[in-house]
Amino acid sequence: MTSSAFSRWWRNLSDGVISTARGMRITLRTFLRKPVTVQYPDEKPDLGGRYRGIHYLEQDLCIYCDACAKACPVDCIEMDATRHGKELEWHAFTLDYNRCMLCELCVYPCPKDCIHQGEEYALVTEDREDMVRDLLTWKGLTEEQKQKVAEVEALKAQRAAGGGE
Amino acid sequence: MNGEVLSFSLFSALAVGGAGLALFSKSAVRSAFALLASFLGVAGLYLVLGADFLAVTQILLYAGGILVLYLFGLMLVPPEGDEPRALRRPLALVVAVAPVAVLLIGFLSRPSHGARAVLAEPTETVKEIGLALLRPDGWLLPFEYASILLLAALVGAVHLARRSVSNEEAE
Amino acid sequence: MDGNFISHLLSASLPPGFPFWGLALLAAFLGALCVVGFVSILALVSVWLERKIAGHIQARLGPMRTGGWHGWSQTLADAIKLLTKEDVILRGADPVLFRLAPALVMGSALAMFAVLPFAPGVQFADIDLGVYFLLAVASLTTIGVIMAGWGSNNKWSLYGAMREAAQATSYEIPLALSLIPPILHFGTFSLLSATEQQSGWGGMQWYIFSDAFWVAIPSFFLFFTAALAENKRAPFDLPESESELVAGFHTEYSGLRFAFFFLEEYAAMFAASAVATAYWLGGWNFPGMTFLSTGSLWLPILGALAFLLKAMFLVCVMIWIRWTLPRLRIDQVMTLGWKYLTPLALGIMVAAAGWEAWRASL
Ligand code: SF4
Ligand code: SF4
Repeated sequence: MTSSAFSRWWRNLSDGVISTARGMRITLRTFLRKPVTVQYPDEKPDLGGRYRGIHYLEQDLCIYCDACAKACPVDCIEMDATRHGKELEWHAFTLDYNRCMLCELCVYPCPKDCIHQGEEYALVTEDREDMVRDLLTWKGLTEEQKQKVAEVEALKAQRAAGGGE
Repeated sequence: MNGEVLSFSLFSALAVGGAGLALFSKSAVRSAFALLASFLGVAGLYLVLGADFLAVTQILLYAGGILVLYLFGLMLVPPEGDEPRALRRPLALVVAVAPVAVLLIGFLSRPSHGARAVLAEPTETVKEIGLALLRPDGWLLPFEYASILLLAALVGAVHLARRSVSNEEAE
Repeated sequence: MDGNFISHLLSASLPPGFPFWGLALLAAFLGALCVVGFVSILALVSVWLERKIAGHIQARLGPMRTGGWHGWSQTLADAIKLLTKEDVILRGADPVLFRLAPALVMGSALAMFAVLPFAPGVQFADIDLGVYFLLAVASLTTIGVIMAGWGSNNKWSLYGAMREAAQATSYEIPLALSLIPPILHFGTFSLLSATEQQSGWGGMQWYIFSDAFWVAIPSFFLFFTAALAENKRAPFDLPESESELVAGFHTEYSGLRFAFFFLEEYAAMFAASAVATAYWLGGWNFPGMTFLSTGSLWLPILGALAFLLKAMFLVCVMIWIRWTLPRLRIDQVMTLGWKYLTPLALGIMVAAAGWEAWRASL
């Protein structure tokens, strides 16, 4: 064995020992660190506030302008409402999560800033139809709105009657 | 029928049975595994004779070392055809029978004192064997001679196994 | 027979006319039962430890749910699952060897426990050959593994078996050589007598703290490394390397037979750690044991506790190494064994022999 081979042997040996020790120090440090695991169904992970989860809609602000539906690249928003003057009678505002990729493109164009993505992400179902979510918080008209609509209609009728005479 | 005879017959049955299986088994690997039974039987016989060191050595070297190497070799060798084996058979018979015959003749011509004379309690066999092997007035010379022989075999094996291209590459 | 506490107990409680061979058989049977029970519990605990340590090393938690407190019964549940699984035997497998292999492996793993000195008076058999016997029996597991690999009639298993054959025969040499320094130091193969020689002031007269510490420490590390390789533990787990050989030699095994291989691994880990404990780390000796009177019942209890703690610590280090180092390549394994460990072990052996001879000449 030449002297260079011998010194290489020693270097290999000490390298092996040192790198093993170093590796074990690293794993020991991780071992002593607090685990990052979250016990999922019992605890929720901290999503950091900018998470793009399932949408929610502030229905009273929405003006049925269809901008979000037009912006969506995969056409998963569908909406239907009847206008009663200023009041809207909502029939449907659905979002098909079979197609939605949670890209947030529907959120930006909204003129009223009333569609948002929240921190809820659990979309587990047993039926694909369940993935078409209804974002409406109430359907049709509230009692208050019905009253307003009735008032408006009454005023119209009154005006029409008054004008005719 | 005491325990000694019982264990002797048990172990010798194991040794002979294993050897027979090794001889007559068709698959070479199976014969090697049958040898394990034979080795264990022989180790048991040593134990019955009070040579516990020899028994454990038998297991360690033959079962744990040599047999493993046999198996390793067998797995590397492709299964051979029937033809060369059939050619070698008569010669193999002679080679196998001759030493046994010599042993038998030697054994039978000896005045019998029987194996019982050697039976002794296993006390400190390791120490005794160590001293016997390494004391200058003991078996030191044959012991060293055997080691040199083994060393020569080792060097020869390395020489045979060496690659013909002898460039100085590490690993 | 005389070192066995079970036969002592039995001979005290059985009628005087009881034949000796019956006593021996009964003691052997009860001893085997004890060992099986101990090994099963040991494996349950070690597997749980392995998972927890693996988890924490990867900043995870490991099993948390089964059984309540930190998933303590996860391995129990897994064991029950394994026992109730179908025992598949392939049509193409060698019917005899396939069945024989797990039994051989398990039997040799259990036999190793016969000579381990757990505590003063708690040892199944103090035979003069102690650790030599242990080495011989451990080498039988190699045969079992090869048998399993061949008998499975599966190319992955066969590769695993061949790697095991190459690896085990190579590492047996540094393993045995690294045991020579303590054997020379204590002048005995017997683990019991070595342990007794290490009890001294305060229970700290261990081999690695003795005047021969400069050979004791490297030989300890050598032994530990070689034992890792001999037990097919990572980073030397080539015989079963799951990334390329599915599960190596036990690919085709299921149910109880697979459990045997699994048990053997942890039993062998513990046995190697126990040998290291008995030879280098003072066995059952613990600081402060000299304050206890010799006949006290606390001595075996605390001694066993100390022994188990030390051995389990070494088992944990093995687990720690497993989750630190990546698996070696087969040529690296061979290089390490033949070109590094064997010459080192030879050097240490010569140094130890010189030191002991010099000390004896004083
Ligand atoms: S997040 Fe993207 S894909 Fe989903 S509805 Fe909005 S625009 Fe469409
Ligand atoms: S863009 Fe905004 S306001 Fe327009 S329909 Fe969508 S959610 Fe309603």
